[in-house]
Order: sequence, then structure tokens, then C-alpha cells
Amino acid sequence: MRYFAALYMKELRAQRMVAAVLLLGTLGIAVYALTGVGENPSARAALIVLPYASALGLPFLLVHTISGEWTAQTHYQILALPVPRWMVLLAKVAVVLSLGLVIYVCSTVFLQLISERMTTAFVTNKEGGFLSLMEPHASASSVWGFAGIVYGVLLLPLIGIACAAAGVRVMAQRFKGLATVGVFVVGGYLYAKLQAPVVGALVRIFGEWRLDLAIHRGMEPTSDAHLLLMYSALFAALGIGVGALLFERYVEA
Amino acid sequence: MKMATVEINDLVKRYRGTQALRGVNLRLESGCVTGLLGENGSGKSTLFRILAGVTRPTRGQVLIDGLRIGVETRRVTAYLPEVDAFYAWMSIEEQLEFLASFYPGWDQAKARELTQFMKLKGEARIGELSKGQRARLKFIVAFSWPSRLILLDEPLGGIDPPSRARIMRAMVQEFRAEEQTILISTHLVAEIEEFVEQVVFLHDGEVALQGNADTLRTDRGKSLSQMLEEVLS
Repeated sequence: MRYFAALYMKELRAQRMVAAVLLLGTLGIAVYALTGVGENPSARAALIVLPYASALGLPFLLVHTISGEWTAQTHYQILALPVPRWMVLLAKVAVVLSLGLVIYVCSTVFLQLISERMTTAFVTNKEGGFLSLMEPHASASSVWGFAGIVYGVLLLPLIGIACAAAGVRVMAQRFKGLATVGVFVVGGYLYAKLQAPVVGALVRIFGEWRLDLAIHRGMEPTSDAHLLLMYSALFAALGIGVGALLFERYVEA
Repeated sequence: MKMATVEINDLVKRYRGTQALRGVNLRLESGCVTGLLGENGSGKSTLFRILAGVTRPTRGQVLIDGLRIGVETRRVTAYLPEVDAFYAWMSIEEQLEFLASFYPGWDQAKARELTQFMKLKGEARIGELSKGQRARLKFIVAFSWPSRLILLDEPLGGIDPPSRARIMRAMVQEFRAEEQTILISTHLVAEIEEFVEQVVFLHDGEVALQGNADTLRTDRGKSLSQMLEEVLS
């Protein structure tokens, strides 16, 4: 655990500039979106969804941090350390996931504030255009749950695929770039293909669990969104496992 | 005969299209300073990488203190590659603290003493160091903990000529812990001539000549530099 902590802290500090830019960007957008909610809320409040798009970029940060060791030739140092290689990979994954978690928390705090203010605006201004589509009493747990599911479903599978791609990349003797792209394509296909049967199986195991995540008026309460998140987490775990296995087995300077 | 720290049997390493090592057999005695000499592409760096556990052999057996290469051997091996493998964004102190987390017996006081000896400042950022200063940092990393095996791949590159012998002498005679085995490769054979006890000449991925440095010098009436020229020719 001590070794993992040292690797994690090293990686966190290596990515501090990226983390600072992402967090400042998230906070900037969130504050700007929040100030767009007045008595007559503007569409600018919708900008709050932008930080969640970081879920699409973070997996590429993971790929970059791994390949960065080779570019800077620091892989000689990191591979000579007396730790299993999978630990090096997992430390990087943990840092990217931590960053994702912080972005999720920051964004969702503001999303909840925006939701509450819009609810107030809706109640006081029932003629308010697109506001009539809003569910007036979205609870805090609904906001956090819905945002978490959407963010997790975007981020987790891509992290898994990025890990598997890192493993395949060190295994490939040639055409490493092509192999990376190939893993992303195949991974995306598998995620889509396996979704229905696996979620179906999860429903059979865990049963229906109707989450009241209705955000828009007229929308049915979501029934299996949390199972989709669970499927995404399982898919991510599989990808990380494959990546770690290949990394341990094949990585070399 | 001293106990062997490193035993290499029939070691082969093939890269795509090239054979870097062709059946190397070698035995490094515990506590000895061994010079690994050879021209560019003779397989020296590949041999270092395999011993450090960062590259896998294609065939053959490598044992360090009787253990196959893995996490346990990496725990007793200090490897300083020819390239700069330090994190440019770290300060010297941060780099040393990071490595200290992994190596048993890391001696921070000794690391500070070595930093002072090398005329470096702990707070200096590695990315701002000159090539020679980064080369000095390699020595600090290698000698700050009591590893069983120290692998120094071209460690003198970039260090100014007047300082080379002084640094080598201090490392081998003052800062080396007891029974530490050192394997050092360099093109600057004259700079290490007085320190090496054993010598191995690699040529085209094979051991061309090996033995006790003094015995070879006496038997052949030549310096190590001259013997290297002979091997290459």
C-alpha cells in the first residue's frame, strides 16, 4: 500500500497542472452557468453540462500519462522500481478517476444549486418558456444520482478501454498506434453489444429497482439506469484487469 | 572464490530484426567492481536492462543472489541507465524522496551528503540541471542505499574530465557500502581503469574476453584501453 501511495502521489503531482486547469475550468463554467439563473433563467444555465464532458477526455489523459513515461524516458526509472507493473498502471488509473470524481462533485454542487434556483423560478414564474418542461421538485438525491449515473456511464467504460489499449500497446511489437485505435473501436463495440444481455442479467440478479430520477415532466422514472452504471463499472473493471495483466506480462523498456 | 552476485547463463536477447545478445555467460563476484566494455551496439545496455529487470531476455537464465529477475531482485538492484530517466518536473529532493519510498535502507543523510559532495542543491529542479549535473545525480541515487548490485551504464558522460576520477574514487572507496557489486560500462576506459577488479569485453553480443583486470594486464602487457582496441579489431 505504501508503494501504491507513493506512485499515486507522484502521478497526482505530475498531473497537477492538468488538474488545476480542469478544476478551474469546471468552476469557471459552473459559476458562469449559475449566474445565468435569475428570475428569468437563460439558456446559459445549460452550460453546467459542459464539465461532464470531461468524462470523454479523461481516458485520453490516462493514455497520455502512460505514453508520457516513454516519451520522457522515465519508464526506465518506473520499470526498475521493486513493484509489480500493474501497480504502476493502477496508480495512474486511480489518479484519473480521482480527478473525475472531483470534477463530478464540483459540477454537481453547482448543478444542484442551479436546479434549486430554477425550481424556485418555476414556482414563481409558471409561464416561463422552457421551464414549463422542468420537474419542479427534483430532489438533491435525484440530481446527484442522475448526474453520477450519466458521468459514470460515460467515464468508466472509456477508462476500461483505455487501460486495455495501454496493455495491448505494450504487447504489440509494431503498429502500436493502430492497435490502440483498434482497441477503442472493438471496446466500444463490445460495450454496446454486451449492454442489453448484461443489464438484463443484472436485473434478474438484483431485481427491479425503480429510481425516481425524473428530471423532466412526463418522463417515466428510470428503472435500470443504476444497473447501466453497474454494467459500466464491471466493463471498466474488465478493461482495467486486461490492461493490468498485459502490462505486467509484456511491458519492457 | 567469492560468492557470485550475478550469474548469467546462455543469455540471448533478440529485438525485431537484430540479435543484441548471443548466448552470454557471465559471473560477477560479490563485492567486485566489474567494467563492461565494448563498442556501441555490442549489447552492453541491453545486458544492463535485463539485469535491472526492465527488459526480458529472449532466452537464458539470469540470477541475482540466486533469484530470478523480478520484484525481489529489483529491490536489491540500483540501475542508472545511460539516458536521463529522472522526472524533469521534480526537484532533486523530491526525486530522492520518491525513490526512498521504494528501496529498503535508503539513507537520507547519506543522500544529503552525496548531494553536497556533488555540489548540487536539493531544491534545484531536475529539468534545469545541466547534463553533467544530471549525471552526478545518478551517482547520488545509486549510492544512497545499500543495494546489492549497482548498474551504472555510461555514468561519466557529461561530467567534466577533471571531476571524473575524483567522483569515481569517492564512490568506490568512500560511499560504496560493503559487499556492493558494481557493474559499470563506459567509453572512457581510462577513467575507470584503476577501479575495476574484473573486466568483461563484449563484442557483437558475445563475451569476447573476461577476467581479473590485473591478471589480464599482466598476462597481455596492455592497458584495458589497449585490450578494448584489440577486441574491437
